[in-house]
Amino acid sequence: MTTGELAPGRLDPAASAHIAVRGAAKSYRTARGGAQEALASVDLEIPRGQFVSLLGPSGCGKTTLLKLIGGLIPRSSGHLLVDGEPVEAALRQRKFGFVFQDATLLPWKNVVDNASLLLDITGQRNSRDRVRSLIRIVGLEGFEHFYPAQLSGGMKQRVSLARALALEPEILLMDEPFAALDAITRDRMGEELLKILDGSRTVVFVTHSIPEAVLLSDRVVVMSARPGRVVADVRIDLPRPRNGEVRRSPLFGELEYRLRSSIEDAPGGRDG
Amino acid sequence: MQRILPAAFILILLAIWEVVARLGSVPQYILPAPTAIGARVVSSWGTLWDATLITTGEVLIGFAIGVVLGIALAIPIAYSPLVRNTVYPLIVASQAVPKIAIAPLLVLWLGFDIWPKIAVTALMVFFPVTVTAAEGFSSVDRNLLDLLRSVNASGTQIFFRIRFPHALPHIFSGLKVGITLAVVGAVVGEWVGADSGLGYLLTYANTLLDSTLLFAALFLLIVLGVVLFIAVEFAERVLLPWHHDDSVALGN
Repeated sequence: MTTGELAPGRLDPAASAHIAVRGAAKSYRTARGGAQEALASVDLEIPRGQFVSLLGPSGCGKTTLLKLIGGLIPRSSGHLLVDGEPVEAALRQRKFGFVFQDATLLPWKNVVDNASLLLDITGQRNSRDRVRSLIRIVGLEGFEHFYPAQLSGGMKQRVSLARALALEPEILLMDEPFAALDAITRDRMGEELLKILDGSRTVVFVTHSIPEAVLLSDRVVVMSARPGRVVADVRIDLPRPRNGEVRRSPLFGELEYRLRSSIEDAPGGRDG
Repeated sequence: MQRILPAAFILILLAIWEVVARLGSVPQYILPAPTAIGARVVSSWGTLWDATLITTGEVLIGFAIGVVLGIALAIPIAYSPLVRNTVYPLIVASQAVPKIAIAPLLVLWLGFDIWPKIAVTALMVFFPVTVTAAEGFSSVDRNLLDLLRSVNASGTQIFFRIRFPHALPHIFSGLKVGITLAVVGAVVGEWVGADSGLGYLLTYANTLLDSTLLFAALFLLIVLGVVLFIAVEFAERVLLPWHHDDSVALGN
């Protein structure tokens, strides 16, 4: 563990990590004027290209940690470095792509225009070809001119993923992207995500599904609630490239069991 | 059947009305028969049409001013809790004041011409527009706003590309309420002081106990209200096709 005292930006051995979270914590002010600790001090080093899942029950602060990493909410204390620089610099360079549980598409725009939203906002209007190839990659070829109301939940999330990838982010932050889908669609989306990303990006993936975390990740960080903190850090040494078949391997079941135990052994884990 | 039944129901009601008015002992100045009203619409068409044009003008100008005012007011309300807490109670209070009670005051302030009618109309219209527009501007998904801020989208971009189109279906609900209120507003304005318009014709016919003319004017007011309402609904369908999409969602 590194201490949280290093000045941001200074070179140190851990600066080779793509994302370095050092003693980051978040508390909210309550209505009565007190402070509610959402996330206790967290230390986390994520190497480039790693797929990390944040796993835990509701209220364990995994979404809070994800939003801290992406600079969407300010942290109360600690440091957050991306490529050894403060997170604000990474935000300016648009290193992050976001996918949320809700696809948050604009109902008045079709698939292409939704996927191009961030390119349009940032003035990169001549990147339509890139968007079209991304739409093909996420499996929506032929649906370019459909509106969100005409799409299923899984298809909407594909658009949301294409929108996130359109800015070619180095880091993809995904907040329970498949949680609102039915179980069969969810499994298939997970497998397709593996194909689409192909290990090319650093991914932080929030989920409360143990099998999903095992299938997708290189590493699963288990969190527990009240206040949110890291209770286990498990390497997923399943061979890549993976597909749905990997679920049948004995190691898969073993990893699921290990993760389940570490969630249940954490204080408040069983009722969380 | 979906279209025939309502039409048949209205026809039956008119027939009952006709029978009661013709056979019963109800004098014509109490309840004229629908056919008598129809005949009066034809015979007094010139007067009625002039009055309709004047009232329509008041309704449309008042409606337009009310809508612009309503949306303009909704923007600071949606963006600033301070403004919301300060202005909202005043707006609600302004709606609690009966328009008929302040209409004479508006005549005193604005004169005897078209402006007090437009003012009453705009006062009626801006409220539903403000409430629905403020709701629409501020109900954009939080994550989507975060996403846009993460790419340094400007406030103007977020307003015109996200908040405003997102608010349009809300605003159109306000416009539909507003357009019917606009007709009421114009009539109220004319009651208090006017020498033309359908509202004026109503009071004029009333003092003469000319109930057939009164009902004829009333009929045109109803037609005016319905036509304007349909026009707003039509505009909604044309401008927001995505909002009224009847097509069935596809499978995965």
